[in-house]
This record gives sequence, structure tokens and C-alpha cells, in this order.
Amino acid sequence: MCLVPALGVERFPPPDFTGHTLPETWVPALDSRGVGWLDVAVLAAALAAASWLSLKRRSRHGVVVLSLVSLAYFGFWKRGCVCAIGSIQNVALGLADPGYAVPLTVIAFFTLPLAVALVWGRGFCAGVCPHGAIQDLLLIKPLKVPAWLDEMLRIVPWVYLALALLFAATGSLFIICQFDPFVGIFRMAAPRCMFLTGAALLLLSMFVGRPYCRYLCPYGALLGVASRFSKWRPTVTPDTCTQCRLCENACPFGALNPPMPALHGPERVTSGRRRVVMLALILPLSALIFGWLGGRVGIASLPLHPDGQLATLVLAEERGAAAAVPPSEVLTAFRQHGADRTTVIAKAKVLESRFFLLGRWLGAVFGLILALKLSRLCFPMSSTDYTTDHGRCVSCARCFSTCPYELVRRGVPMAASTEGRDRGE
Amino acid sequence: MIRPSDPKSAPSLPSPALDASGTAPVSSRHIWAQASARIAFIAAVFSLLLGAWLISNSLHLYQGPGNGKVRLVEARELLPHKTALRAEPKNEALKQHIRELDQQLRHDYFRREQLANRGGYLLLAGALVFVAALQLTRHLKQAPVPTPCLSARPADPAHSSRLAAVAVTSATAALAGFTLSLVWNTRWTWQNPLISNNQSNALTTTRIPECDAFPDARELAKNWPFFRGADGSNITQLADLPETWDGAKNENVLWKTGVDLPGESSPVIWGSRIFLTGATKKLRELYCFDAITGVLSWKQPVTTPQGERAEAPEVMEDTGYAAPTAATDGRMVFAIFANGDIAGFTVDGKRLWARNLGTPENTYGHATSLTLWQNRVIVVLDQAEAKAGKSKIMALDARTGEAAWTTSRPVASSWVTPILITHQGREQIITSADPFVIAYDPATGKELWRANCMRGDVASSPSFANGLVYVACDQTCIAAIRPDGTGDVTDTHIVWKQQDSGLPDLCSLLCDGPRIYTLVFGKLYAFDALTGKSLWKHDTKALFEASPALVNGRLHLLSTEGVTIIGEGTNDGFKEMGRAALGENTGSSPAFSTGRIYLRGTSNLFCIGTRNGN
Repeated sequence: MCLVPALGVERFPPPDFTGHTLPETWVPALDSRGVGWLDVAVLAAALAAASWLSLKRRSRHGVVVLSLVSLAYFGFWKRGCVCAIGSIQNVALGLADPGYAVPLTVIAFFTLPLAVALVWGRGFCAGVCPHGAIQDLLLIKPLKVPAWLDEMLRIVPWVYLALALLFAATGSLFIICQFDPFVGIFRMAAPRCMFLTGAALLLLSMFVGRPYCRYLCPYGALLGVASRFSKWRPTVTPDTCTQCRLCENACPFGALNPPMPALHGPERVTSGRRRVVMLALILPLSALIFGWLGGRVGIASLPLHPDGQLATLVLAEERGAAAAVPPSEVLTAFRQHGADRTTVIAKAKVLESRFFLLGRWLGAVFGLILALKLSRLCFPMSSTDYTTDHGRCVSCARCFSTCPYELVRRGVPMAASTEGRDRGE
Repeated sequence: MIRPSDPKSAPSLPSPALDASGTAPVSSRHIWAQASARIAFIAAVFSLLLGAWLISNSLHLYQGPGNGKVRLVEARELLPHKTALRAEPKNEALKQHIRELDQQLRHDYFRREQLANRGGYLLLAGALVFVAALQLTRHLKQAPVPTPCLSARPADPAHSSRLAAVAVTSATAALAGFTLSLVWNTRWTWQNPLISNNQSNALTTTRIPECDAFPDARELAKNWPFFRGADGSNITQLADLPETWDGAKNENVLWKTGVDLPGESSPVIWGSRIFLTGATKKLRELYCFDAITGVLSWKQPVTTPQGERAEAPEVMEDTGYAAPTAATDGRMVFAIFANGDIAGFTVDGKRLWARNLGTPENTYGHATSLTLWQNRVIVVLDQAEAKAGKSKIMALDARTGEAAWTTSRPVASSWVTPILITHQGREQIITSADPFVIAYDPATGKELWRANCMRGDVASSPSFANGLVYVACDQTCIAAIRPDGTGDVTDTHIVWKQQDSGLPDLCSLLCDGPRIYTLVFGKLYAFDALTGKSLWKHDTKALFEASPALVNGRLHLLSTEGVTIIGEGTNDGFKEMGRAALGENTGSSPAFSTGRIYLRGTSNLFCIGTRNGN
């Protein structure tokens, strides 16, 4: 029902027996360059504010306010475009196709959040990304997703990212934009299925923290990697962890790691050896298997490209399977214009090899990531405190208020003093 | 540094102050929380009701295809009036009524659309209020300091991690398996089907194992696989074929089925399948009919492969674009057309290959039918003048369409279908054209022998009987040649020549053993097969294009008017036994199978047989 404004003007034939003339369609003027750079400036400012609010001010309220502003600006005002998530595809196509010029503003949207993540963590997710903001603001009764399910679902963004890169770099599809669940809501217009998907995700996000960010967002996967190397990161406590466990359930996004006892002596050596052996085995094996599979997926994806689609339709028709091929405007246009079949097939062959090679590389990288993930799960790093998972923490600042030292820092009156506690001073 | 592992050592939490009765006073925070909860409830109810109404409105707006557009245009309220207007196009009152109704419908539509638009924003606002109020309630009810939740033992992180590893491995394996099952059979075999180029313009699709086998002579003889039968003699020994029928009255017509495109080609039969070709200047098709019911089992277009430029030639109207008859070996079927397009299919209609052999330069149009030898399709492309050197004979691999061999022929255009014979253990392809009758080795394409005895437009296909090859043309002679020579046998192996009369122009000659029959402008001629001596001639008062056939000793002469003259030929003359009319003109030759004769008319394919027959 919210899709009405998106429908075009020429929806109906002119009324019968009248001299009514249809109004001319018009195309809205493109935003000027200044507007694009203004968006970049707002993005930069928002990133800086998000990092400052979550790391320095440790203010959840501030992050919420920033989320509202970002949602209003990047979401409803800018209608979800340009966005950092979709910019992955522009950059991928720009790298793969020298003839495709990526606007500098789009490059800025792609790189700025990643650069910030490398230094201050995922400030972009905290309060800049409208996708994250709309889910975060809706979270009312967070349910804890079991660790095994959480880990399992966190593979999906990598698969999504690999497919998005494959399709974008071959010039086939921009699936992230095409299947963006929230853009329809920002624009108040979308195909019905996408609108329903967005609504379902929003409903889910009332009970599961940021389902899209955690289990679908391909850009989040990249930010997670960058954030692991960040110099400054959010910590639950501004001081020293006393393992009071008050923060144990504070993170609705499963980004808080409990203490993991360290191994000592021979156990530690054995575990280390096992880890090395496991990595030596599964890294190449996984890369090989998924590389091979990626190549197959690449070849099978050929019809998603317009040239590939035409070639496969031509082939199907020529093989006598015309009856099985649904009527295609592409094929009809090809026949009517008398285009050269040899050229079509030659293009498809080149395209096929690109799909294959790219699919193979992306599959291999996915295999490596999967192997590293398995290794991390089988041999978790030891820690003594409750720590935020730097790859997964979205810097939302929720957990801070659960730490007694944070409350002390904020000046919240405590019934009992913290006297007698050894803070190692 | 001391780390208190006992939760009791955690900082104690502020406790709410209690009044004298021991109950907590109702704080302003609590009152605000209650108010906020009520707002959330009201907003939820409002949003739900509004959502339900919007869905109902949306269904009304967008029901049917075209997102409401079609519904509006074809509104049930309008349709009866529009139908009535078609009957009374000048009824102004009705037009006015339609105008008003149309306007009313549009007004209603846009009103609903506007309501939906505003409702959408209202719903968004309601949802926002609901979420904000709920969040506020949650915030107000939240304790100012964290509540300890220490009853549960913390989960063993190492165990959780191992469990997650198992889950990730399983999920990944399942994902990989599922993906593999989706993409396993996806292969793009570009080289296979129809890609063609100037060097080798035939390519295979998937190889079908059963197509590797080919029938022996016995299996061929059981069917009617080529033009004029398996041996090209146009003779069948079948005894139970009807001799009377009437196509117009459906007498002894088991079925007749319309053929989409015209053609002079004849039907060929394998088992329960009848194959036929049809073509116009632009379209070319191969048909397969069910021999029992006459139902069209399939038809396939034969298209010029992309990259080839086959121009449709100008042909004589009587020849048309589908004069050559198809050929089948029971596994595959092949068809060639006037523009040089040739294709191979399985008998189930799956295209194996297609190519264009170049448009034959032929005054009347290409009419030479295909024949098969083992797994090869024999194609004769006689064209232009002999000195142009453009005529050739080719053997194409039946499974791929690739040329096994190609031999240039020093002859001019001809319309003769070659025959395959085996004489003294030597297999030969016999061809006839101006000026040579030439025999080729079907395995290599090498010329075995040639005889210089034909002139002009050669259309009569040869026959083989009595150890002799019989050839004819309308400008020089009927000749009998011994096929055991090598090189030029003009002076050594021509047993006899008959140059006086009865020289056929269109119809192929027929040899029943002792006699040779030819049809020339309505007259049936008979010659002694061993000496060439003219025996008699009989005026049938009809014209012929189809080749005469011999059915269990009786001649079947199919006229252009579709009348089959049936009779017996002896050394003394022709005794007509009867005439059977098809009801349609025809230029095709009949095909025979047990109890049935298949005849192609200008529009239909007829199956002649008796109801109580086999």
C-alpha cells in the first residue's frame, strides 16, 4: 500500500471518446556534483560523530540520536542511495571493467567507513548506516540467538558478498541494490515481494538484534574484517573488568565474548600443534573445494548477463528446445535485427571464461575465510575478561551502561560503595 | 591485582527506597511508563486496523494483471456497454453513458489510490509512535543500574565454540551440496549445435549413442526410408494394399492430415513414423506424423545457421522449395531444401545439427533427394554448367553433419536422386547428370566409373536390375550400363541405348525385371530391359510428375491430378485395372507400408488403407 507513489504516470489508456492527451513523462534532473560531495561530507561527519560518541563519550543516547539523524538523512531523505553497501558493486565493476567509471563520491562512500573501521571500529554500523539504524531503533525484546545458529548464519553475508562481486564484476546484476529490503521502505516504493521482505525483517528486528546486519549485509562482512585490525575499539568497561557478569547478556548482537580459560603447559603446545595441522590441511582443501565450486557457479550464472542470456537462448532455440524456452523479447529483438550469431557466441565465450575465473577466485577466498572461521571456532583465543568481539561489535554503546564502573564514571549513585575492591592500584 | 571470581564481590546495586508499609511508592517514572505503554497499545491497534484497511484497499486497487490497469480498462461494468456499442457504433446515448461510467470508475480508482497514499504515511507514523512508545516504556521500566542475573551458570564457551564449528561445517557442506546439485549439469557447449563457418559449418550437439548404429539392408528394406524406397526402385512386394479409394469421399482413407507448408517431396516411413518436408521461400520445416493416427508428432524448423547467408533462390513453381525427399535410418532423419539448408534430427525431433551447403545454382530449383549409406548422408549438389565446376557429391557424417568426403563432379545441374547398389561385392553410388553417369565408392567418394551418355536436363533417377544400371534423360537416350567397369566405360559397358521414343523428362524410370517403363507426357512406354527394344506405349490421358511404382506386380501411376492409375504391364501392353482419385493434385511419389499407401496431396497427407486391413 505504500508503493502507490512509485507507480508511473502512464498507467492507463486515455479515456474513451475524448481528446485527452497523456501528460508527457519527465525525468528528474540528476543531483549536482555538489550534492554528492555534501553527502560525503555528511557521511564523514557522521562517522566521526559515531566514533566519538561510542568510544570517547560512551553515550548510547548520543548514538541513538545520531542513528535517527542518519536514518532521516541517508534513509528517508536520500532514499537509501548512495549507500556504502551498494557501493561494493560499483567498485567491483570499476575494477573489473576499465570502461566503467566509478564516481568519486561512490568510492568515498565505499572507503570511508572501511577506513574508519580500521581505526575506530564499526562506527558506520553504530549510527550512520540507515539500514542498521532502522533495525536498531526497532529492537524491543532481544532474544539470544544460540551461538551455533549465530555462527552458522554469519556465513551468509560472505556468500552474498561473493555472489554480489561475481555478478557486479561481470556487469550482470547489482543484486545488493536489486534485493535491498529497506530501500523500498525508505522510498515508499518497491516491488511487493521486496516490500514484504523488508517488513518481515523489521518485524524480526524487534526481537532479533539487527538481523540484516548480522546475517545478510555483505558490507558488514568487510567492516568486520577491517574492524578486527582497529587500533581503538569499544570496551564494555572503561576500567578493569571484574568479571561481575552484569554485562553477560548486554549485547543483543552476540558480540560479547565471555572469558575463555587459557591452556597451559603441554596442553597449550598440543593445541597449538593441532591448530597448525588443521590450518595446513583445511586452508588449501577448503580453498580448492570452494574454488572449484565457485567456478561451476560462475559458469551457471552466465545467463544472468544480458549477452550470456541471449547466447543461451539462441543455443536453446537452435537445439530444438525452442518449445521449452519461454518467449523472450531479447531473442525476438536479436532475430529482428539480424545480429550476427557468431559475435553473440564469441561474446558469450569470453564472458563465460570471466565468470569461471572470477567464480573460482571468489570461491577460493570464501573457502579460506571459512577455514579460518572454523579454526577460530575449534581453537578459540583465550581471554580473561568479558571482551567485545571486535569484528562483530557495531559500537552501539548498549553494553556500557551494564558495567558498574561505567555507572561510577557517569556519577550514578550506588547504594553500596565499591570500597575495598582491589583495582590493582 | 585481585579479580573477584565470586559474584558476591561485585559492586552492590542501589536499592529502591521503601516506605513505612514496606511497599515501594508509585514513582513518576512508573506513571510515565504506564502512559507510554498505553500509547504504544493505542498506536498498535491503530496501525493494525489501518494496515488491514490498506491491504483491503490495495487488493481492490491491484487485483488482476497489470496492477489495476487491466481491471480498469476491462471493468466488468464497462464491458457490456462496450460490447453493445460494437453492435450500435452510432449510439450517442450509449457513448455518453460509457463516458460517465468510465469517469466514475477512474474517479473511484484515483480516490482509492490517494487514500492508499495517505494511509501509507499514516501507517508509518503509527508504527513510529508504537515503536517509540514501546522503547520509552522499556527504558522507563529499566532499572537505573543493571540487574544481576547470576542464577544461571555461564555456558562453557569452549563447548559452545565446538558446537558452532560443527554447525558451520554442516551448514557449509549442505550449502555446497545444494549449490552443486543446482549447477552440476550446467554446461554451455558452444561448439556443438549449429555454429558454422566457411571451413566446417556443421557441428554436433550431444552425441546420442543409439545414433552410432545404423541399419542393415534388411532393416532398410522393411521400411520406406528414402525417395522411391530403400533401393530406389519404387517397387514393393506388399500384397495387401488397397486398389480403390476416393479421397473426396474418404473411401479407404484411414486418415488425412493437413501439412502446414507446401512441398513436392514424398513421404518416407520408418515403423510408425512418417516424415515429410514442407517449405516456402522463408520457412522450412520437417514433419513427423504418427502412421497409425495421422497426428502430427512433431515438426521442426530448419533454419539457416547464423553467420551463413543463404539466399532463397528463385525456383520454378512446380518444383517449390521442398522438392527433395527426406531420408531416415530409423534413428535419425535428414532433410534438405532448395536454399541448401540441411539438418539432421533424431526421430524424436531433437535437432542434431544443421548447416547450409550454399544455395544451389539450379534453374528449376534443387530437387535431388537425400540417401544414406551406413552413417553417412549422401548429398548430390549438381548446379550451374558443367564447366563451372560447382557440382559436387558429399557424404556427411549423419551424427554431426561434418563432411566425411566431398568429390567434385564434372556435370551440370541435375534433379536425379542417386541410388546405392552392390554389384559383385562392390558398393556404388550411382548418379546421373549431363553428361555423365558416374559411380562412386560410398566409403571414400572416389569415382569408380563413368559413362558419357546423358544430355540436357536430367531428372529421371536411375534403377538397378538384371545386373544393369538403367538411366534415362529426355534429350538423348535410355541406357543400360554394366556397373562392373572402371574409368570411362562409355564405349565398353553400355549394353544398350534406346534413343527413339519414350525418353522421360520428369518421372523416373521403373524396371520390373523384364521391362522398363517410362512416363512421358501422359504416355506410358515399355521397353525390353535386356535389349532396350520398344515394346508398346499406352496413352493414359493424364499427366505425371510422380515416379511410377510397382506394387505387387501392378503398376501404380499417380497423375498430377491425384488419380492413381492401376494396371498390369506385360510384353503385349498395359491393362488398366482401375483408377483411384485422391481428391487433390500432387507431384509427389507414393510411399508404401504394410496395408497402407501414403500419398501427399497439395494440402494433406493421406493414408490409404482398408479399415479391416493390418
